[in-house]
Amino acid sequence: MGFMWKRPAFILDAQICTGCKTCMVACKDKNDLDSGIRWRRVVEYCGGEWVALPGGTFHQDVFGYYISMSCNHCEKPICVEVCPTGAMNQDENGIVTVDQTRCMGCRYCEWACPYSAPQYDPTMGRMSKCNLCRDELEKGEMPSCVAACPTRALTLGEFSESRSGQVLHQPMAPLPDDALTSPVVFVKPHKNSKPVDSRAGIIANPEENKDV
Amino acid sequence: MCSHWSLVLFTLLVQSVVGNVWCIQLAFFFNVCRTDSLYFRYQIIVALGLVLLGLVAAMAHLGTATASINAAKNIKRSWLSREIIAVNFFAGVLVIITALTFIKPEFLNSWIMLGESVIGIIALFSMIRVYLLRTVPVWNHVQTPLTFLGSALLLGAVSFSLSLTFFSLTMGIGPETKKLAISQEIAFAVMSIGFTLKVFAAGRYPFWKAANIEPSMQMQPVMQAIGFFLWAISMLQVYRSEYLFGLLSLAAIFLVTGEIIHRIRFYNNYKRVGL
Repeated sequence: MGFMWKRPAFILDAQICTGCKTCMVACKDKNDLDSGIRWRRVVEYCGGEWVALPGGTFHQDVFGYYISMSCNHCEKPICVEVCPTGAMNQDENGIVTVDQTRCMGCRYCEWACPYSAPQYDPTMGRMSKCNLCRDELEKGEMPSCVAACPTRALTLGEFSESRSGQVLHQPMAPLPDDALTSPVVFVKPHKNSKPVDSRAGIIANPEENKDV
Repeated sequence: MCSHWSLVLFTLLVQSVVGNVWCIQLAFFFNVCRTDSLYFRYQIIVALGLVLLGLVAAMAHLGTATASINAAKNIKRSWLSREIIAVNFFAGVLVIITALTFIKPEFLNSWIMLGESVIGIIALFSMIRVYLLRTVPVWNHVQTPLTFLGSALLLGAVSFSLSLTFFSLTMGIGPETKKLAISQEIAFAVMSIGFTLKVFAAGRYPFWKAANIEPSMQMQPVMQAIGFFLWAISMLQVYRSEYLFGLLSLAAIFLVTGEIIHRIRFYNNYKRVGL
């Protein structure tokens, strides 16, 4: 085993993410995922409209941005908390994985996770999820999604270093409140990002993010 | 969300048996039921059949049912693990009680049913906690425990009353008329409390957090109100057997249908925060 991160954390720069979904495809390719199973998902959040101004003119406040999200290997992983079989577990590096020899496919973790991280595999009858490409990390490589990102919007960093203020993090819609599960992820805000509880926009690509 | 028919059946069946056991315990408390009676044995068999059916429905929900033997491994943290243990323990004690009614009825007494009633409370409580998820606001609300408790009381009273009336009027093995009437009054009182809880829960439903409100689902309060009304009328006929079973059956159809509709709506309204 080579270098291993102490507590790896995804860092997403929403300002430069173009929503190309290369990260999603790289993940599917590396893990040989079936159609409909997405360990990484790219969400398009947009909204706005024409606003009438006094004098008969109009102004538009249209906005849109992308968030690439997989499992955040949270500090308080609700999937680990609720799993009845202990199949969902968190290792010493904070990486949450599913032990498929124990999983009975009850999908309770899927109900609970606010990031849609656990994905049900109907062919196996069990849950599956991002494992942060632990095998790649142990070889000193990057996870496939990070390695594939053409704009370097998606990177990886040490959680402690990133949290100490070196990375500006701002929770934003449509992500849930960080307090729910304390996700180990940093999202650099887009210039038009909306607050967590905002209803200003909608998820424009729900079909690409729905559960199986 | 995935198909939830199996969970609708599981939750309703288990809650009805828990309520049924509570009604039987009340019948012991009011001294209108005996452990060595034939109708008690048949009521326990009905309860056992329903709970086993519920467990089969629960297994149908799993992607890999063979791995369910691992279900008790996270009892320290997971309410689902605790629920699985509690419900299986409840069913297991019911199996023992049923066996004792045949093999050693003299071992049975009202204390055993009291113990089973307490296990039923624990099973229902853990079932409620499964759905109080902080990431699902529409379920993480007071209407969930009110609804589940109301269902247990309402369906439990239905199964208790119907089975007792059937055994008495059709098979002729029920308690004497006066005790049968008291049993029916107990069932009606329990059903009324359950119905009241359901009405109260409906009034506090967090519609604004739900995924959708389907117009057909609004039939549930209407059907249950009709069922309650019919049951109330049947109480006027409690001493006239030729009408009692018919009215009770009709009331049960409305009440149970309302419960099924309500439970389907409960699962349909699942909406998680975030992505």
